Amino acid sequence: MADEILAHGITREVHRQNAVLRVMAKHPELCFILLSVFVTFLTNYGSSFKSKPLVIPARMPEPLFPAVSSVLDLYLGDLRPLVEMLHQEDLIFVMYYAPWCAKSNTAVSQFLRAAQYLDGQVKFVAVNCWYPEGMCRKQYKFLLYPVFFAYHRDNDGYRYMGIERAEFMVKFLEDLVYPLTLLTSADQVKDFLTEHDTVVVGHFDFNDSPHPPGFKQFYYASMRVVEHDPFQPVKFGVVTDYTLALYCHMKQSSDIVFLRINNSTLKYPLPNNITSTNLVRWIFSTRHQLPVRWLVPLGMKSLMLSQEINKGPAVIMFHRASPLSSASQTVAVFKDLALRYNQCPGDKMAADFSRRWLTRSIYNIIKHAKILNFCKEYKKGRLFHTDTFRCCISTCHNCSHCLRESKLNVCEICQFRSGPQRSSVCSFEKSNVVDNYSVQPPLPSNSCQNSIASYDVSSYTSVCCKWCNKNVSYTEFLTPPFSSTIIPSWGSEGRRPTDRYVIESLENLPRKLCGRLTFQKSQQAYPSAIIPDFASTSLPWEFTGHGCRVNQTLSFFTLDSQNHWMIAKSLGLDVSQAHLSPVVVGFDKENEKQVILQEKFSKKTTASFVLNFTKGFLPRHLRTVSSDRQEACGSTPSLCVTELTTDTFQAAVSQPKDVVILVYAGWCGFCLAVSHTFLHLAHYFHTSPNITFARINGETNDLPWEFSMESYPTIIFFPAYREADSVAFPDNIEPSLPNLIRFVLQHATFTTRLHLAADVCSATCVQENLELCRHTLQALRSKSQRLRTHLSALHSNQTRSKPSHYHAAVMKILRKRVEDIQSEISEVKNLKDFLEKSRGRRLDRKTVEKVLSEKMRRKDLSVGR
Amino acid sequence: MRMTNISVISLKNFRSNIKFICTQEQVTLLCFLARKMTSAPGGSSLFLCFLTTVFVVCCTNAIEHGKIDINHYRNVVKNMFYHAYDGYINHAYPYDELRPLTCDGHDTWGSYSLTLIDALDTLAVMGNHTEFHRVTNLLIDRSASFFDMDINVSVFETNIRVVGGLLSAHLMMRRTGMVVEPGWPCSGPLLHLAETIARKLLPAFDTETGMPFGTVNLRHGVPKGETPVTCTAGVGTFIVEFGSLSRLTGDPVFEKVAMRAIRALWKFRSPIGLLGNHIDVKTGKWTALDSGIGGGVDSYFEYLVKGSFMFNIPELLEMFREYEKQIVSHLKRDDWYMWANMKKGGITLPLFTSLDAYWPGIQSMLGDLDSAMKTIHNFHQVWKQFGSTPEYYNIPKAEVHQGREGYPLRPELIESIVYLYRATQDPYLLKAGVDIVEAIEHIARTSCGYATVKDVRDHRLENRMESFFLAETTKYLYLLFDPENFLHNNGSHGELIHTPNGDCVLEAGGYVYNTEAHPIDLAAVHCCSAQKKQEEETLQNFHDNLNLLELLDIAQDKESRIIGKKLKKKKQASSTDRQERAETGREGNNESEKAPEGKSEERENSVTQPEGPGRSNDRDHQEAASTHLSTEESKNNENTATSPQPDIKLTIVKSQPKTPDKLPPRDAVDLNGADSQTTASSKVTIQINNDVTVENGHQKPSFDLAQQILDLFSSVTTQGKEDEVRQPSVTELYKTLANVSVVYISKPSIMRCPAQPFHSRISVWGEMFADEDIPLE
Repeated sequence: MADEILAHGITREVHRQNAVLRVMAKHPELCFILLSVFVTFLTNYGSSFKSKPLVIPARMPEPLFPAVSSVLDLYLGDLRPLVEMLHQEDLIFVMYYAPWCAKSNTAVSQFLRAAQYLDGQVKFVAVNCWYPEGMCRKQYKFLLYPVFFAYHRDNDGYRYMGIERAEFMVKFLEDLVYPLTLLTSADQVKDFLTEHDTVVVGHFDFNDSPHPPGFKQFYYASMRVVEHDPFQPVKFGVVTDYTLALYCHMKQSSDIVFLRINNSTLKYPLPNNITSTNLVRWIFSTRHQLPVRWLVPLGMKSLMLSQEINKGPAVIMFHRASPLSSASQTVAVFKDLALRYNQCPGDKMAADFSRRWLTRSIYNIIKHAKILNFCKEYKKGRLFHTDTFRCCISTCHNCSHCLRESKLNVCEICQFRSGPQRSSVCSFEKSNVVDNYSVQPPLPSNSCQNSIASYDVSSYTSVCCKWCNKNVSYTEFLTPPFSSTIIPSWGSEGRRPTDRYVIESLENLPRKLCGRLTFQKSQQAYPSAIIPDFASTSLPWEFTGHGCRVNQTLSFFTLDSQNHWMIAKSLGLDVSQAHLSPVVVGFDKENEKQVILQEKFSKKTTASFVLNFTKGFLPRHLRTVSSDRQEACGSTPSLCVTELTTDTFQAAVSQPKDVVILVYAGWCGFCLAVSHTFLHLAHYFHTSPNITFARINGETNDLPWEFSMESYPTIIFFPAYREADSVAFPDNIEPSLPNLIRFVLQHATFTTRLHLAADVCSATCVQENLELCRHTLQALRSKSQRLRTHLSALHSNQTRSKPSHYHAAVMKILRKRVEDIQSEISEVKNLKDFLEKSRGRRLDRKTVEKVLSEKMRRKDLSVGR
Repeated sequence: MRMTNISVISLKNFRSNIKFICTQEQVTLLCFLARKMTSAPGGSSLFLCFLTTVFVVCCTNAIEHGKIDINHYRNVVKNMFYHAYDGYINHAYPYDELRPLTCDGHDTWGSYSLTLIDALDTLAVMGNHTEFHRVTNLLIDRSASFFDMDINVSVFETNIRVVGGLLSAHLMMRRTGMVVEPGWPCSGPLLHLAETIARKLLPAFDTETGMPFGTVNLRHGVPKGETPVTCTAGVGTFIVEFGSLSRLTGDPVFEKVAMRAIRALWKFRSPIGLLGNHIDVKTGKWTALDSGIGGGVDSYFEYLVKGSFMFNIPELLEMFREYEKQIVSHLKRDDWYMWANMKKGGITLPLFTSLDAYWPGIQSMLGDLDSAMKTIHNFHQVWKQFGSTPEYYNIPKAEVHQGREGYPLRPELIESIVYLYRATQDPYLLKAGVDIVEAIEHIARTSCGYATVKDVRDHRLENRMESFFLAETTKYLYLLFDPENFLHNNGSHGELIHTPNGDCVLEAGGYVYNTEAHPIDLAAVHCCSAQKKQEEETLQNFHDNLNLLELLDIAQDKESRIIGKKLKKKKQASSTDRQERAETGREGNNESEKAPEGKSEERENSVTQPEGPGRSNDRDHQEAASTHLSTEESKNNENTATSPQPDIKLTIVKSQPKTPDKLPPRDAVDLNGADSQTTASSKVTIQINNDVTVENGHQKPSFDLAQQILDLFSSVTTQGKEDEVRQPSVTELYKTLANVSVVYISKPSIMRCPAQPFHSRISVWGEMFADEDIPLE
């Protein structure tokens, strides 16, 4: 009502408002009602006005990389600096990330390491491609982060779909930087093929023109294949010499051939239509099976492994892959074996390759040792300052005006620290020192500054800055800040700034080599172990060509033990020592069989392993979980049942006791539901020393075939001494406690039953059984009487007629029966007497045992036999 | 300084000497090799090989890239929980939820400090017993008036969050070191509290179909004019809590209403066996026909599986298997589960809803690990794209569905990850868990809690922190990174306690999580149940009537015993053989399955028939038939003397403590044994609604007015149907429940999980096997 009045008043002309007031003055109660309505309204719904969903924007992105580092972090998603950079740099490696993404964050340190290692060769850029206001996010849509792309200056972008480890990134980038190899001799061609298994060789005559037809496309394709398979790329070689070209079955310029180690040479079918796309397609369609394939599951949903496993039995080697060192010896041995196994008569190349692998890997070992030695000396020369000259980082402030003037303010920040080494790793990343200087405005040109970070005299920091043109490499002007007699100059005078390659190859070679070594060391990527009988040629005589004779496909794979330990683990293998001795496993899906090489890895042992595996001679490997997670059977829980593993299973079931085992699967809901019943069952029999209970996880512990269950939960009973007579609880009966007790009693040995009888037989039970005994006794006596009568009748019958075999047999049986019944009668009588003696009390186990001990001994003995 | 340097160097030398000794064998070997080489570089080769060996051996050790430091992440999660929990306690308590942007509280699902109740058992899971005790005591102190409020609450949410939370906390009291009363776990203050509030939900179940209303008033029962439309999950998500309640307290009414609602849904499924999203609980007519596994339906399927093994109800598992078959054939595409029309089956919405993510967890409990892993990869993919899962995600467009772009810190994805990680130990899942922790920490953390993500595309935050963040998300994350947690007990140990019901084994790993992640120990539930009583009786009988002659092999005659199956001596290791055997196993089961199949057919027919008053009679008939059937079967079983189970079933019927028949008619005031508040409220309800015409004269004029207004409203909402004006009441419900049977036909043979195929052992790290073997190239 009040509302209506109010509304009415307002809709009238303005001067009528006085009237409203007047009305209100006349009727203060109306006013009151209005007010109260308003107040009620506010109190009821006021909160809903307040609680209009408050929304705040996401926080502003922050740099993911340290401000002073070899990675340019475009954390606001701006792509323009990247585009600009693309005009100047040969190769840029870009990581598109999202700041919230855990994977991006873990990739940061690896990306940074790769950037530090390739500093000066490849530019590293990180772009926040999540920030919704950023240019990147508006242009690209990524379904996951981080995404890596390598952009070539006058070419395309190449996506890196590999492992997010610095050494793999470096390998990828190196393959992109040097995609082509110039081949000058037949020996080189063979070596080239030996090293890479599959190579594409093109003949291009640069004498005719500086740009022979098809060469550019050939070049592009060489990079594209790296993108397709960064781990085992098809390598590209160029032949300029005509005779060598002829040797490789190429007759004219722009001819391209595909050389494969275990197959014939193939010629590119479209010589007049060389495009990179066609080339790549052709290569991957004709590549076929490599002798040994390096499988690299990337942790995304894939069928890679299953496709290989489905083809047939496979031999898999887990070893420590080292992407940065060429030709590991382990792989060479494995490849050699694979090649020999599948070698067919008339295949003469194999022996040649084998020899080349041998020499090559020896060469590698020596080379590696040489470098090691050299670097040690090199380091020694600088040893006295390695302790003091701890850490330096060069950085440039490319502020906006600097960019415009195409000048850079380049600073070298060094942290000096003397005294005992605290850590061997340079902890410059994200240290506050760098942040301090990056925050400060750029220092004036050509100046140095020292500062002490703390009151610790043994450490201080220096910053030296210089303005310079962009196209000058900075090693030139960065003179060491302190007396150059102590710290040898890193740059040197009189260098031709244009001739980068000369500088790199000559002056930086030692540094590069040692840097590579240090890099490998920091990434734990070493050349693999040395195989004892590497050079041996005495394999089992059957081995060579066995695959060709039995016509069975056997595939050979390698997996990296560092990055794919999880696959080894789920096969039940321990690959922690794979860098010393690779782990070899045979996997046969069809026959559900998995075998592992037990001996130390060597050429010979592996060869005989492969042979025995194909022939099915090897015992099945049973996976088991190491008992590192021992279930607490201590004092706290009042009930506990032993957990078995594959290793302890056999011993457990063959002990001279009744054993009840629950086979379960950790994931199965029905197993959860039965576990408390099983514990209760164990508790029910806990006073009986002759029966034990245990559990085993059937999914993580392989068992012999007869005990491998098809479904869970399953309860198996192993009677003492008669392990072979094991039975499973039927699956059509409810596994409730009473049922389980009945089941156990049915199959238990006499002792167990006796103990139980003593334990549970109540006073009622004693009474009942007494009654039962009387009845039984009566029944037995009458039965015995009947039999005797029968027997005597037969006997008299026999005496009358002539004796027949039939009669004799029947009588024999009857006599036996009578005897049996007689003994039964005595036993029942025995029991009856005993029960009578107990006079309605509960039974005492000891007396029961005493009374029935004779029987017990007999029973168990007969069983034992 | 120089001294130290020298000592460092000498130490280094010393180390390398040791390594040299260890690996002499290899050195000699290498040197042998070097001598063999033609191009050996002179005298230095020996030194070189020494170096190489030292280098190769001493500097390399076992490295597992990508291994997750679970201890670190466990602490991160713990801090996450306490940050949010402290935020709630300091800023929001006693409101329902914390508002993490404004740092204050507000009431959402009721006004009973929801977050506190919901987060209670997470405290116990993380081992903070003192805080658990404090909150428990606080709840007990407040319990008298806690739920006596004139507020409308969601039946579904109150059940899963409050009843579930209280039950779980009740069962955890002992292990946190609290003094429990002698009757525990079958009695206790928190159990009583849970029962009280569950009783207040009961009026919602008084509908013709047995499916509950969505809302109930804690004091007055179902509000007038309450819409009869409820989502499917709101109908079928009660059995875990209500079944537990019934067994713990001994009052079968809860289990009965839950089963009745589940059976009703089963009855109303479409001809092709799918369910819609929303249903009219009065008529059983579907109002939203989209059929999927996610939002609106999710926990119904979850509870079918969990209920089946928790309470040993094969009926539920059979229902689930049937639904699952249809879901796979109609909804599953490329390991996604989409939305289809429930009648025709064609895909209508190619959407992933973030609630779908519970499904792989369910599959893992039944052993369908392969399919579960494939699906979880898809779901995790969405997370990787946004750092959270949007409520709806358009699969083909790989984009957020407009209008449903939020992420309220839901737990479903991490829940499935926990289940699957426990099953497979696949480190991929740990990584996915890390993804989730890091993203939530980065995106949603505020000064006093964690905020709902308003839009997953730009991570704007909303001023809300749902209570399930503390109850579920943090709990599951913690469980993922805490493999030693007591909830991960695989059943190898338990606690023996003495209860009035006899000895019970508790905490033996049989924890079933309700859909709000409140673990309930099924052993404790079993301990208080009628089955347990029956088992005790059977055992006592067994002890009394133990046949010593038979037991001790004195006489020859054998009585009823359970004889085990002989294990196969030698197994032919081929998958086909295994399959055949599985099939024969199935056939064997078919005999026992025949009966319910016939029943279900009957039910299908009744769906096609127009809804009529004869329907309930029909159901009664069916129920009678089923009980008849079970008795018959039991007789057979007795003859064959293999299983004493049927006996148990029969006696359950007899031993139900509160027989509904005894209950007085609707208008009587005194409710037998029921809570006095409930009585009062139902009395009021009755007076207002049902007997208004009769007792009009006695009522006050204000009631008159209220009645008029209500009539006006109800005529608008319910198209003026006269019979629908009848307000639901508990008394009416009790009458109806007399016909609901909670006697289940035992089928142990289907209550099993299949073993994993051989090749599944290399299905880790994203490597999958196609459903059918890929043909060779």
